[in-house]
Amino acid sequence: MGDHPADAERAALLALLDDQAIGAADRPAHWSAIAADVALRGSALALWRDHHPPTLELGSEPDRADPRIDIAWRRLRDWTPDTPGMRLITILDDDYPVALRGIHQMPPLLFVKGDLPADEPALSIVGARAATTSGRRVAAHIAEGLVARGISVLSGLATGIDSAAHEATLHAGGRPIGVLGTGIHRVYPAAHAELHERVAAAGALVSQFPPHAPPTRQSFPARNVVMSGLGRATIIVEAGEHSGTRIQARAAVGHGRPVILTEAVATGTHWGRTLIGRPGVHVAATPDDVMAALDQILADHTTGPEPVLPAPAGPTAP
Amino acid sequence: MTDPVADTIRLLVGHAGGYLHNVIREHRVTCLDCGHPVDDTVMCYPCHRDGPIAPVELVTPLIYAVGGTQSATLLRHYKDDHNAAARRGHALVIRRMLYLALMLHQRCIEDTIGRPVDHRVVVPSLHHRPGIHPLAAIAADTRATDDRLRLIPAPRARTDRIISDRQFTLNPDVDLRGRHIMLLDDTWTTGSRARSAALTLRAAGADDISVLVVGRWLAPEHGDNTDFIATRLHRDYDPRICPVSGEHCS
Repeated sequence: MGDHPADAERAALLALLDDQAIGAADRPAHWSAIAADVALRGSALALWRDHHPPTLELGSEPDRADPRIDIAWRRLRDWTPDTPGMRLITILDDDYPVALRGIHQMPPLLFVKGDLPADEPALSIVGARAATTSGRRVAAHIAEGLVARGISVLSGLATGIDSAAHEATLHAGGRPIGVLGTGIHRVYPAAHAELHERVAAAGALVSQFPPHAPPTRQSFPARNVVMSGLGRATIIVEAGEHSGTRIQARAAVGHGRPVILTEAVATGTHWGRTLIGRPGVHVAATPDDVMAALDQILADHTTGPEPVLPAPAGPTAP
Repeated sequence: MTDPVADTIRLLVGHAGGYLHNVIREHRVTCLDCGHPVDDTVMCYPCHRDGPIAPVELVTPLIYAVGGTQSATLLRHYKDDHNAAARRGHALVIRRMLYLALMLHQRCIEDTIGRPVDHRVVVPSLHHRPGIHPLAAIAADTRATDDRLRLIPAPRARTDRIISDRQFTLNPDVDLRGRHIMLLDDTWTTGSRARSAALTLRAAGADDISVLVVGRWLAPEHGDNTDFIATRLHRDYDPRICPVSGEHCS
């Protein structure tokens, strides 16, 4: 990393993230607000100068002697992965996922291991850790259906439904995308180290957190919000009353992304029942129902031309 | 498409109904003009202050754009995100809202005013935006507007929130006596831009001016707005709810 203009932008972005709150890593809302501002401004450097107007020097980049900028440059060096196949994507980059730009909690940074095309069509399959055999079978069946349709499978790499979905995706030769609740260098749960490697090799691992960030109480819900944002829809196969999956269901409704609930989830949990009838929420009684709802969701992405208004009835000239 | 209105309702609600909220029209709960929450008054302060100077017959905001939430992201990023794909995704939602509002509720606006809409005109941006404004592009694509009548920012227009008939000029400069002009705007914050546009139309003789606004900006940190958001904005967006009455029409 040198003094490439893109690096100066990245350093300014990190300086902005650091600027207003200590321990901002635990504050996804704050980070997202900065990401959104940068997306609107088109430049982290320009935004930094808006907040900190240059006083003495009118150089092309903020003063490297400014300790805040200096710290950001060092952090950028620390955080720029030197592992082959691993990279940092920021909101400033063209290869930042398009779907993720559409949600108000867009994360400013994404650490990626593997291949993540910006316009990749993907759907989430998520659910309980304590999954039943039949739940795991349904998750695998849906994953195979997505692979057959050329859709990548987002999941959280937890035990239970998550790993069943990804194992089936791998087995079917599809693209799994694991969305982490930790930094990209961590493996959680530790027993899934080998699954992590296979997911990264066939698809991608994605993390919105600093590379060595441990899992926290806040990191998993924040991760589920981002997972909703990365996909076109969320399918919840099996989940309990206190499953973290409910966070993703609510987030998806709040993003305008469809949610498919299996009947057991829709009727067996209080949060599932409150989602019935909400916009974009489908309840599916059978795996075939899930696939039918899914095909409708995919078809809605490629509708024909939008309708136009009838010719004005008013006078032909003012 | 067999029924474009029904299809568009399904697509809009399915992809945005969970984060949008219809504007509430309730006496002494929200402003009679702009729909902003009020504290047991008929109008909010800016409308009370500016309405007599630059009156409009009717303001109909479709939804609240709540700062820091998805609805505010929609209204800011559809036009100003630097990424074209991000702009396109949000613009589709705005387009569907505008199309449905005009198909379903222009008649309600005309009934309230007592005169059919003669022309629709987009309120332009005053921020020296290069190229065609995204809302103007949506309005033209939807055939809500055409080239026969336009407002353009005056060369010396100011970017602060003044209300003046010198902010916009009418092109062509025609006589609008006896006409009902509908202004189309994306965001109403204080209403200064729309009211300035109304003054220009009024100077050209327009008898009736209605303003169809996509989003009434709502700053959560302002006044009792947090309370209003928590207690009143629980109903999912329904494009069939009338922006004039706040209730289902027909």
